[in-house]
Amino acid sequence: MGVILKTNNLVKYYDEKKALDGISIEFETGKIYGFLGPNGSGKTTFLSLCAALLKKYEGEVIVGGLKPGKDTKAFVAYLPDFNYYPGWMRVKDALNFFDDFFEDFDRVKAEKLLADMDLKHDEVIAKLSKGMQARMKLAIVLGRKAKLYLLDEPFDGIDAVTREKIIKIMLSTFSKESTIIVATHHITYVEKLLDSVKFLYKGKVINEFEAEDIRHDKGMTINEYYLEEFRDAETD
Amino acid sequence: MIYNDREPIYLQIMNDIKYQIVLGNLKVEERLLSIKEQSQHMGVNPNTIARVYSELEREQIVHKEKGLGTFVTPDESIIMKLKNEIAKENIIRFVARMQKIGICGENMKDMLARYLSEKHNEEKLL
Repeated sequence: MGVILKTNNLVKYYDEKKALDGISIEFETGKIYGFLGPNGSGKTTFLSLCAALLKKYEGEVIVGGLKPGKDTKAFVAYLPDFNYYPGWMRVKDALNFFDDFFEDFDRVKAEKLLADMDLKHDEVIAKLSKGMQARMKLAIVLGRKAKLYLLDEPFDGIDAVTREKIIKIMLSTFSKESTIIVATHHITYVEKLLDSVKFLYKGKVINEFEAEDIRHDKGMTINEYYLEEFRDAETD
Repeated sequence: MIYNDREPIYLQIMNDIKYQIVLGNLKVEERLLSIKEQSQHMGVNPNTIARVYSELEREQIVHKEKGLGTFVTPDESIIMKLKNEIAKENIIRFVARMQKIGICGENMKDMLARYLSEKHNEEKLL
């Protein structure tokens, strides 16, 4: 199986603060990864770098054989954890925007996902509830036929019904030719979704394992194992 | 299906499929859902489902037909064997629980026999 994303001793500073402290990891094609760690551990920074949203860093990032930039954006679908749609935009404007911008955008699929999520084309995004906004952001991003999906906290502000829908949509999007990386602190939601897990703490990868191995070897859920590993970790 | 997130998911799904076969909910030579369908239906990673299907195939409980899908074995003797395995697991669990509360050997057999005959009589009355 090929490696879609690889970093080598990746370091990122914000002024004096070290957000990423020498990350060397690989993500293979055809797998769903959990990228787990407490707030402030560097998950968002890592994903933004891989999505070519942040430019300055030390070390190496290779996405599909390339340095992150314009060319990698064509096959990397990124769901940021903030709202990036301007206030005036309606759902259909977001559709048109993605359709114009990304060659891998599958409009038919995106429209189907939006319909599954009970979203109407004429609704103003900013006026939607938090849960509906989360549904919309995800439906549009998963409407792309990307090689790599970077999903930053897709479950924030989402109720149980929406969560199930989102997981189904993720599974319908995923294929042997793609990779999904989910950064989240809602670990119980993704127990059955993940192939592999990487724990991040203070800008470092402190543990990597296969999800089934933890259940098999330790008789623990991923969440229990996480709590054990991070019991003393400070959260903010 | 309700999962226990402390046990490997593929084992739980394997056991469930075996149970459904023994119950007759999945019939001899019936086609299982495709990996993709099953994955979405259960909300489980497709690689986990793929592992379930290949483990079941290794145990000769299902077989793959190229381009057609995965089917329950036509071999009734394998299903009979499955049924015996599940029965044995139930007995092991029952005996362990009885022993835990200090009921062993002949005593356990007597109690079980008495329960079965009482149950039989009740059913006859109905």
